[in-house]
Amino acid sequence: MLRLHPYVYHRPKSLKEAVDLLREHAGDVLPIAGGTDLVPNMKHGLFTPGHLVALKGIDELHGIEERDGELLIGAAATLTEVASNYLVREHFPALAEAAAGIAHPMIRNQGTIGGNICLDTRCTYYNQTYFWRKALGFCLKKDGDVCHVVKGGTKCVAAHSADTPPMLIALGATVDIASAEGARSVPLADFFVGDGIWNRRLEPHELVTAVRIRLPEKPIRTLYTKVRERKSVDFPILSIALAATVRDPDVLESIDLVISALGAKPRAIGGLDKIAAGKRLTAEVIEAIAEQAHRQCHPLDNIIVEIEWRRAMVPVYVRRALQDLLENGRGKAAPGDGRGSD
Amino acid sequence: MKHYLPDPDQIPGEAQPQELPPWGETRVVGRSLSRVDGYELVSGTAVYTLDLTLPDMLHAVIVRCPHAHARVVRVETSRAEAMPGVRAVLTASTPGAEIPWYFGDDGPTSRLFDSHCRYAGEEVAAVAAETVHQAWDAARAIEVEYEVLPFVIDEAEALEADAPAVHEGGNLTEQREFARGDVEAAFAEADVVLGGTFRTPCELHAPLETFVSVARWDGDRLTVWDSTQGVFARQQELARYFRLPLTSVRVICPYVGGGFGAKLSTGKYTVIAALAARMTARPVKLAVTREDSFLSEGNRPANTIRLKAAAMRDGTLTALEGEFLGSVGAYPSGAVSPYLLLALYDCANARAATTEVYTNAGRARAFRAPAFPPCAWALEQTIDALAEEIGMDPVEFRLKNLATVLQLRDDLPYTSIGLRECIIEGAREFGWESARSRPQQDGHLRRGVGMAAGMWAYPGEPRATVFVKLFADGSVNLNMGASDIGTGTKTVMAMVVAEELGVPLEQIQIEHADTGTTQYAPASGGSQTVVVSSPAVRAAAVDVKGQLLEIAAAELERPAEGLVLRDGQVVPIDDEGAAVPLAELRGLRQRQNIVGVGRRHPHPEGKIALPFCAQFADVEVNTLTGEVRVARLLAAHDSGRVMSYLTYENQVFGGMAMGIGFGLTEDRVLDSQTGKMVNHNWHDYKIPTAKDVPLEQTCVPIDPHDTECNTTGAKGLGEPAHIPTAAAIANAVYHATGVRVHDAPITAMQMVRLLAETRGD
Repeated sequence: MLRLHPYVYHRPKSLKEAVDLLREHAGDVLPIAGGTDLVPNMKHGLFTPGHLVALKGIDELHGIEERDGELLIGAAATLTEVASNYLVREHFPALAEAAAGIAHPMIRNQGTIGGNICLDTRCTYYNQTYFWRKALGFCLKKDGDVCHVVKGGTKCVAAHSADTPPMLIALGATVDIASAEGARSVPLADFFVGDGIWNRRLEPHELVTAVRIRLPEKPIRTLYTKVRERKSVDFPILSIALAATVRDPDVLESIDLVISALGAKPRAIGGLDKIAAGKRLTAEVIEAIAEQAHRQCHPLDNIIVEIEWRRAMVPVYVRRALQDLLENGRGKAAPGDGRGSD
Repeated sequence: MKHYLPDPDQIPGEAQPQELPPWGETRVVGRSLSRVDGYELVSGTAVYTLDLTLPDMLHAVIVRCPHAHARVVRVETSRAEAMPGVRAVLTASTPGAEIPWYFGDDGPTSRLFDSHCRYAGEEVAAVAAETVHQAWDAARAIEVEYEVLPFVIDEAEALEADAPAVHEGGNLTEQREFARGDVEAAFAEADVVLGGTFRTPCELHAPLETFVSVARWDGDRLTVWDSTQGVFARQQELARYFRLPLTSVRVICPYVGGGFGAKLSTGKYTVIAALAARMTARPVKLAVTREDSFLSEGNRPANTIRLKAAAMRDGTLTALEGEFLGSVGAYPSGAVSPYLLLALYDCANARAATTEVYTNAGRARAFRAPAFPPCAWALEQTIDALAEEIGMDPVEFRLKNLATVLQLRDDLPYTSIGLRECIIEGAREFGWESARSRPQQDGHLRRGVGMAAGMWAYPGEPRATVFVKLFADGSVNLNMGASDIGTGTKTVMAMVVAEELGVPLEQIQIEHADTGTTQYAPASGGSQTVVVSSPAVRAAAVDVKGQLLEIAAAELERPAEGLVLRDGQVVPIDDEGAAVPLAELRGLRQRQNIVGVGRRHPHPEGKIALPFCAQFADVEVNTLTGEVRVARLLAAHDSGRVMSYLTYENQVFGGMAMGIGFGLTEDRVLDSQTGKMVNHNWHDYKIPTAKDVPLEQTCVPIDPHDTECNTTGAKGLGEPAHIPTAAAIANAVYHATGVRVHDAPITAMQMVRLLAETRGD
């Protein structure tokens, strides 16, 4: 049995109470919502806060609604709620698909979108028990000063493994953050940094309270697809999020492509407007986008799946995603590909 | 099997009891009836060993070595001993803990707590405390100083001269050779010779209920509740470890959440629980965690098999040669088996050489047809390649070369062999010919079909004793020694009783798997449970039936031969209106109960009863990503009589699901830097999920009506169901893509690489 360390469990009823607790116990506190990521990590001895601040009892963090031309999703909305909410499904079906494909039903019933946005990075040498890690010597990300993935490496390369952030970034989402000092908002595209140790621009005393997505003025097509070894349970080993504004018929006005699960942060593929804006999604354009993505993606050996293959799959899946976008623009993987969503 | 189950040839048969005639048409046996314990299983009311809580029970946990190879220099327990709730701390120097440990029958090879730790996960110390949480906290507080040693985890490297020695005396555990005919001459004369080197992964045991024992002492008598496949084997081993007479050791096995071979031999956790219970004079429960069970409680070792085969253009298989290499892990066990190579096909010239080595990794245990799926992986792909080379359909080539006798055992005849029907019926139901000639679609998705055959080698221990007791109201108690490890043993046996006594299943209560109250039955492993115990159950029921009909004949004043038992009544065949409920028989009320004793008769002399199978796979390969999707599977099995249709189908589908894991996803990964297992959890060790198993699975039972194998006509099923699946998938992948995948599992990464090589990229 993996033991949890002793901690004080706080159940605030309001956001103010929660952020005050985070400030009061700064340095020795973490927020907890679904706990599907944090609790296993605590059992592995990766986090040992003396205080936990539970978020699910705070009404302000719940709910999914349209407000001021935006879709607002409370951070404590469960992944099941996001996946099944009619507003999400109507406006951003691929976001619903991304949420619906996470882990398995029990995790989705418990886990929240806020937690998915703040999901800790993952690595073969990190997501192990204390018993395991102590034999090899501790690593950069936790208690040590070496990287077991990149010999002599000084930067942690643990992989961003969450499903909803790439899609949210492609949709231009903004996260709302609260702390005892006040509230702030930041585009999700600027939220992540390429440091596997702590890949969020989020101070320990801060809390993600909601994510907002502007409702599109023009029709958009969205798509989310991912690669994993089994059709359920597994974290993605490659994920692809696409959002495109399309002028009839099939002329691209803009396209956003975000690829993740390879490095510490989701990667928004740059230079696509030059390649695709104002053009139809022809085979040439699709190929050019796929090549652009391939050039910009460099996975590291942070999980037990060959990196050569993961890199080689980037253009294959981008191509397929674009074709799928062209055909139906939903979040489903192509039929018969053997690795559909959950 | 030699490391896992007793050799049946060493077991003298008992005096021949009265032979029962084979069943004709059956009324209960063979039907699709719900499991007798189905409600308990699905409602959560079934009590497993893991659920047991005894009054005053302590919880024990094990401190394990975190290094692949190390020597224990010092164990400091004082901090742990002072912690709240801690009642005992056990180390190698604890009085009573200096127990020599047996892995197999060849003498002790270790100690309960061995200061020479040979793999990451080896037992170093243990703690018993009032709560499981206190025990784990105390375990963490035990400080162990290790001298870390160089390790070896690769089986080929283990044989090199300068390899670290896992045991004094070197890493080679066993080399064996088998040969018949003139292999060299056959290769020289053959029209076609081909071969290759195949590799299969190390698979980890993952029964839903992990490994757990609860131990309690009453004076010098030990009672152990254990999640085990065989209570009598456990009783014997515990008696040896604690130097007790057998009668002083009682082992009870409640519901078991799966065994798959891992729960055949005694684990150290059981003895540690018993030792801690004796030290504290309290009952002690020791449940091995999932992560620890991945490390320590067994695996099917990786195999490297170099195979060479020859055939004539007319389709005659003329030579087979195989070299097998595998690691047993850190302690004696079995790793490889050339059995299928030497027995499945009629082949006059065959040779096999096996090499087994120690490495610094967890010890192998029996694992659903131990080394047969690896051998099938290599053999059945080679047979396919031969068929192609001579331009013959793989089905036809196999049919042309089927063995009719067991060449491995001086051409011993089989009581029945339904392999031909398995292949023919299976191919017909599967639509083999039309699927083989299905045109490929344009694009990157390729479809293909493949098949593989198999057989299983263990006929079972011919010994078991069963009691059946009929109460005065016509209800029945079945008392048998066999564990039901989730396969439906209880249901099958209750159906046998119902068949003979004509009582409804709901009227049958089962007591089983308790050395104190039930009679000897072999362990539920080796696919022998139904084969060994169902004839004994039938004999016991027939014994009751004889006594009952005698009473009834006297009361009804009719000859016993003219009476049958049906629906809880005695029914005169020629006057059904005169039927009498059992409860109204005066003679039964006077006696209050009738007890029948049934014994397993010996195996037929000069013959052997073994099961056979053929499985078919239909796959789709994505040539861009390398992903393989199994679209449908079909299994045709000759396991003799179908005793219970639903549990039969369960076994077949379960075996194939495991085969998908073996062929496509499962693989223990050891870190090259540390020798430690990387994927010892259910996320990173990839067992197929429900969504990775095809919806379309078909079970085609082949019953050759074997009247010689035993008095119920059943042969084993649990293991054969798993043997050819992965090989059939690999052959289908070849048919789809022209790529012969030598290394299991067929990961997408490997597939992409091989497709590129084939294209010449």
